[in-house]
Amino acid sequence: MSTHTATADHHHDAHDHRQSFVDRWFFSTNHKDIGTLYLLFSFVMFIIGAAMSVVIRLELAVPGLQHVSPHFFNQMTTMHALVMIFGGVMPAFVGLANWMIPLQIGAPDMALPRMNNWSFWILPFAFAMLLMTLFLPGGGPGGGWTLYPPLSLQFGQATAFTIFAIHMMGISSIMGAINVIATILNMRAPGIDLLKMPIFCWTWLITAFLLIAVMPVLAGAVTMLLTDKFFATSFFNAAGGGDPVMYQHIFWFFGHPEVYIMILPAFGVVSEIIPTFSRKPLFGYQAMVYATAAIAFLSFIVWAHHMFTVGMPLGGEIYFMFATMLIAIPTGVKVFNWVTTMWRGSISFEAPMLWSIAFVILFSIGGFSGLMLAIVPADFQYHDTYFVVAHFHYVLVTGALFGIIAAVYYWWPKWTGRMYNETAAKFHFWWTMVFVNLLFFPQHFLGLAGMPRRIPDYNVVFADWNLVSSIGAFGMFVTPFLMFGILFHSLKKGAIAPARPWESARGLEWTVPSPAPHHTFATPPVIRDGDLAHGDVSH
Amino acid sequence: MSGPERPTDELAQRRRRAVRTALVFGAIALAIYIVFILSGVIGR
Repeated sequence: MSTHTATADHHHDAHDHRQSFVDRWFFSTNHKDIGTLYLLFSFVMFIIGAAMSVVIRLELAVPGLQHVSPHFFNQMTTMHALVMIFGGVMPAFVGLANWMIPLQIGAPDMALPRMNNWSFWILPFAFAMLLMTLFLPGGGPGGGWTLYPPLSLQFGQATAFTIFAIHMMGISSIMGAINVIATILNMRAPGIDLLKMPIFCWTWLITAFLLIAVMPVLAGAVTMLLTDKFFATSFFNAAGGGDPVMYQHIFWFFGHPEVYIMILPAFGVVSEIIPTFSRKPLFGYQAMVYATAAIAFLSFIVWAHHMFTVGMPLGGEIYFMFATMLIAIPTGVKVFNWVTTMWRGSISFEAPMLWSIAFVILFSIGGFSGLMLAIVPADFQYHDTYFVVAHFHYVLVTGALFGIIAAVYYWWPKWTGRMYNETAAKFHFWWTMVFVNLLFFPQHFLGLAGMPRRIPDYNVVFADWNLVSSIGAFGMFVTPFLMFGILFHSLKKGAIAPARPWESARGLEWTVPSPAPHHTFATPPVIRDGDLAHGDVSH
Repeated sequence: MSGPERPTDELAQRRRRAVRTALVFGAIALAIYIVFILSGVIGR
């Protein structure tokens, strides 16, 4: 196990200078501290979002209206999505980016540390405002996370708060993305060329470009919603000459790239982990980079596949159908490369690898159901049914969330200097595997049989699979607490982690001690071949 | 082992370049937002 140090200068200043709690956590400009804050914040948001999903599944466990009113049910489905997407998945990946990108490229910190602090601290206020709407007269937003007008404009006081919260989240995301781009383009240590960067940095660079391009579009769309409601404009108001369908086009021009914003960093994580535990270099590194870029480009030209049933010319339907199917090509390249990396590798199945293999298999299921939805005549049958719910949960839960969990287990020893309990982590994995599939797989059957989404009651013919799905949800709700327990135990009693806890892990982050000192790469590292995740210094 | 000392002005130069990159991308984001809304207003 080689643990040489590629760097000259690391400090534990946070401990040496005895920063106060407030100084360290509220005014921090340190990328590791801010990364930790992002990850803790997203964990809290995941718990809140999961609690909302339990309310939804409790109501749907048996036919009939039992526990909550339909109005509150609608608020739960809407808030669950907003909290999970903007509060859970996105901040988790920004947290991972904060922790790992400077470590992986040999930079002392993010390029704009003060802006980094601001990007994070906007979020708690944004989500406090969003969640507060549940206690306003009329309740929170209930028209779905897409906020389609005219429905989304018919809620009481929630609209203004929701839109302001979305603006704040957008500003936070854009600032985070700017920081990632500025860091990667300007702060790389000498010797780390773009095509020698770890693939996680590449996927994040491309994700950051997506964020810069589409978050302002969402901001513009919700600004127009706001003026429609409060300033008598008619952007989307048919009575005033506006077009509500235009909102849907604009929303999905943001919304489809948003899906890739949530999954590309997970691709990066899995592309780091699979080579480590297969004890082989990543197969087709450059193809992976170009495939990621291709997926990002294609994500801009397929948005109307979310709107086939709204009505559009036949030529439009055919174009969006085939353009959507094209995405399967670069995605297939990635899946092929992951499998080929494992092929004839000396594989071991530590927890990060288990989560990554599950990611490849289950995300592919989500991809295949996505292909089914891309077929126009089929989509007319599936649209707004539970098939769609099953599809995007396979992409976002067993895709994005599994990627986040894999990353946490993989880099945890580097962050904390402690190993986690492998047996407990494997139990966490298998528990989740059972219940996540119980939760979401039956929803395919429900959707194909015609059960509509976003409805608190349903026909008795759907009863059996709904009960199974709800049992899965209750089992899934245990998992974040299980993970918290494993990680808390590791912090207190875990074995001491070496600098390179995974013997085949490559990349600069493994050359610094564990836990990573508070300040790393204060002077730029001298890179040697073994330090690079990909390629050699001299070539 | 220790790495070579980087002159402070080189690090400062990198920081300046990073700020410039940030300003460019911030301006792009702001431009998308403003042009997008203006296109909605003028386009009507």
